[in-house]
Amino acid sequence: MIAVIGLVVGVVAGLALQPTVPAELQPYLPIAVVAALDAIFGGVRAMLDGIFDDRVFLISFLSNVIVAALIVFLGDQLGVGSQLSTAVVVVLGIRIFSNAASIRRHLFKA
Amino acid sequence: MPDDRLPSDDLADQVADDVVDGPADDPVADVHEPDDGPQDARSDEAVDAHLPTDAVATPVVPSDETPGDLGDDHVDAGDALVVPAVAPVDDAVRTAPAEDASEAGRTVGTPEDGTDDTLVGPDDDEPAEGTAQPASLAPAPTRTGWRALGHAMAPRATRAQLGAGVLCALLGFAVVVQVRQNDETALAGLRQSELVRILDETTERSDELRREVTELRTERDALDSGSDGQAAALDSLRRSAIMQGILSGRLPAEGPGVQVTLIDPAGDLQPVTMLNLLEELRNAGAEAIQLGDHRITASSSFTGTKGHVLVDGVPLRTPYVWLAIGDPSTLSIALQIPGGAMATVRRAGATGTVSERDLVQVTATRVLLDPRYATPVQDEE
Repeated sequence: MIAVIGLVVGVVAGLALQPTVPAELQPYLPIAVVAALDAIFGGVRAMLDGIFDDRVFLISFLSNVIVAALIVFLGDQLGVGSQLSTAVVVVLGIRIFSNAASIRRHLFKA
Repeated sequence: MPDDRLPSDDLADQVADDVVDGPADDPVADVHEPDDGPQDARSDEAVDAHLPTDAVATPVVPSDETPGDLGDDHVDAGDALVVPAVAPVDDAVRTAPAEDASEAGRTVGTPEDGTDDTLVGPDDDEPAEGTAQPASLAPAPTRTGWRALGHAMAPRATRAQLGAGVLCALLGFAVVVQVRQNDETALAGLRQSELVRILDETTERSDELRREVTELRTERDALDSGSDGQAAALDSLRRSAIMQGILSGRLPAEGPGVQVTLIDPAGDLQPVTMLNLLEELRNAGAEAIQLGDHRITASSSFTGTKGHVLVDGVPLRTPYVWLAIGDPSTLSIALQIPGGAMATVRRAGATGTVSERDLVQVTATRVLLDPRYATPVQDEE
């Protein structure tokens, strides 16, 4: 519940403050968002598995975001930024799907 | 507590077996276990079903609890069909949590655990649909899943909930920012290569448009000059029509010329004398000629007899007054050549005078009939 409230608070804050993303961070924000989504799904799944741990969740969330952004940054430096960000999105998308499937299995047994 | 202890020992044995078998075997063990193992698991669950909240609540704080409590967790988690999964996670959390997080980036736990579950997943699906045996397992985990969700949704000020809330707030904020960013500035977020490509496309498009502008301008100029040519042609035709009108006697005319007055009281002049005089005027370049009230043109005729001259079938009366537009001196000299037109008039017994005028007005006009038989020759071009 607190997580949902936090989500709502974050959305409202984003709408209210209307911040502009610094130009240097613009390529990395979408990747970081996807990585964070992956961490959220993983957390929900772990909770349903009964093995949720807030420390692991926090660390995985932050490390996901940072690693994803780092990979894209590295790709940009190597000149394959767009391809690498596509790869990251694909991998994270697959993980989100598998986590979502696990959650679904837990909730609906189907 | 003894109730819990016993199954926990059983499960501990199972877990130990699984660990000995190795993670790679876990999926197989997990799939096959329902044949013999879950009998125990379900009986455990039947015991635990009376304490649902505890069963779900305990896993939230596994790392901070004593090993004995962790044993309880094993039992409860075992109900959720993740018997093999518990042991590695537990180990990871206790022994090397940092490694756990960096390796998998997933809160579930170790990579073995992740592959484990994903491998189990499809296997779980197939029997559930195909055979009845796993379906008998279904009800218990369903309750556990929703219970776990409902329990997690219950607002409690634990560290885990607060942390998750903060992270979710962060995520929501980032999502909104990114969406807004994506909406407002499409170009700013693009990479250099994409910008170059867009620039190329834009340049190409602008070149194309420039070419089109040139073509259209050329076309417009052509049309303009065409209309100019048309106006010129119209002007020329108008002038030509005026000239033709004067020559054919359709239009009145004025200009320098001569006036010739013939007085023939005795009626000595013959039509041929008048014709001679007309020919002489034409030879001298007269452009418009009038005799009395008659415009003299190419189709004019002199008929009649001596002293009774008809022009175009209309009788003339003395004095006969000729008006001719042309170079006055040329006309005058041409008429008064010795043995010329005026000499013939005088020899016939009439008298005549030629006077040069700066302005002669030929006001008589003829109505032209459209040619009935003659048609213009078509231009070959």
